[in-house]
Amino acid sequence: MTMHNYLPDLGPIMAPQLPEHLIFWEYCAKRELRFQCCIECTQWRHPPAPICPHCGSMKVKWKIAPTRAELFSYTVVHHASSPLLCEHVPYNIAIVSFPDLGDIRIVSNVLDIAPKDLQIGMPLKLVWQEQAPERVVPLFMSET
Amino acid sequence: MHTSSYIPHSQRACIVGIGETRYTKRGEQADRGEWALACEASLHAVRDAGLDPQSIEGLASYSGDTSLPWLMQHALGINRLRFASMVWGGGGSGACGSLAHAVAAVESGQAANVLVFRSIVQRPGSRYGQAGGFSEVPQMDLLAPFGMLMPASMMAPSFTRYMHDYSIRSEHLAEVALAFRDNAQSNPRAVMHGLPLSMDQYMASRMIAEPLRLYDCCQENDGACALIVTTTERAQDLPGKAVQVLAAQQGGNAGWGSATMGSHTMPAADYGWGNGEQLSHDLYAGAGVTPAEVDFAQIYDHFTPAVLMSLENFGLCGRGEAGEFVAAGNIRRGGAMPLNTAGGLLSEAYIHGLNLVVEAVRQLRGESTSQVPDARIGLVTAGIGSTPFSAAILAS
Repeated sequence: MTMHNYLPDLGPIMAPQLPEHLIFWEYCAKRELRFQCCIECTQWRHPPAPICPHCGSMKVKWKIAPTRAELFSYTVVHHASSPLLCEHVPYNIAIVSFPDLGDIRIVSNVLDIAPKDLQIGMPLKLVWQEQAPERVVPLFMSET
Repeated sequence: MHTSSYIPHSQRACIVGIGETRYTKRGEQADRGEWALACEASLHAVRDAGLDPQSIEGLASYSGDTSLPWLMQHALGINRLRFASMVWGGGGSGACGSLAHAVAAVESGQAANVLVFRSIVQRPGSRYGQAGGFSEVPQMDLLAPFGMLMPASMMAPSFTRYMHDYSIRSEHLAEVALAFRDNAQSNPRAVMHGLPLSMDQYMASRMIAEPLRLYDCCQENDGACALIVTTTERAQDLPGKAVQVLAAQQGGNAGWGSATMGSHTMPAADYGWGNGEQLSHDLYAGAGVTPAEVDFAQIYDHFTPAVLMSLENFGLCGRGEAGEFVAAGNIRRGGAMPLNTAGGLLSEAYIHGLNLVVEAVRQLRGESTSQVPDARIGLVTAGIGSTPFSAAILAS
């Protein structure tokens, strides 16, 4: 794993605003990537929401995400949108999908990879970085 | 042409006035402020319609415009404010949505004459390429830690996927930027008037967020524009040529509730294509026309790939065909489907897309600086990818 954080602490802009998101980040702090799963109809959903869009139930449990993940799409950012990012560009942003979970995806980054090696569909594995105090973020590396 | 509406023709909405301020680069009108620009554009629109400001009964805007209804009532001396609408959503998703609300107000009799306006003075602290301007996006905590902090990087992955799935190349994106810049050369109001763009300049421009280069991204501008919407019956007593609103509609596909400003969980089939299929269907059905009858379009061009996606979503070419469609010269002046004839958001000004509606009205009056001969029916779209976004079909 890389020694340094992929991206720096960007401050308050990273703070959750919706109470539904707090639990997601509390699990991340324990290095567990968990998504909501409806107790009634067993359908997964993400981002967190107060009710199940499939059956309307408010009963939920948080299940561990499948380990099988892949790169669904990506961009390589060259413009530093914050002075804090000047030394980090170019960096990639990955849209990571979980083939066993349909359209559930998360925004993340792929570590230790040159932009030209990013390939849609490439298998990824989950790693964690402590980006800021109490902010552990789910990141990915090439599985191969 | 037929219409599926149950509303009698005399009560159908039309646009009878358009108004604009100067369009400038970001910051050049900061000393005046958004309220003054909104009032100036509104006055031009009211006078263009041959009306008096006191005759305005409704206000409609979008994207959190800061010229609040009571400020506009105060400045314009509105006596009978009976309707005020703010369309949810940032950017230009509501450009045709605010028109749709005005149409609803006019056709339902809630207000006789409705002013639609949008005014922007770009603040130094809220540049589109700067983190912080989107701190109120409720799912931002799922994006910001990963460096997704500006519209360009939020939308770029859907464009990456689009180009991957449909063999779209940089040259296709460039053609959009070059065609619209060329249109700006005949439009003295365009901020990019007198500044032609070459393919070499395009390719040499700095990368913002792949696949988006600088010239794939819209401008940052100061300016305002406005429309007056009333009924066809009232329009008959006014001096100018009324432009019919055949349909104005909000919409967006299912499953786009956490899209580019969320966790990108759109349905895989739409992810790299766009969310306009439902809206397009509703729009053409409501207008009673088919895409084949459209003479020109003003397509929301916050980013060049969004123009290609919109061409496909709104049936102006087949799915996956937009690259070849633009490469064949179709979107240029004199082409089969001229687009963004005033220069669009890329090269006229980024007034969140309301200036695209204004240009559509000019086309249908025969007053464009890149006039399409015999223009009868025009399509206008707002920002594809947002939920909901919006579109309109206008006719002379």
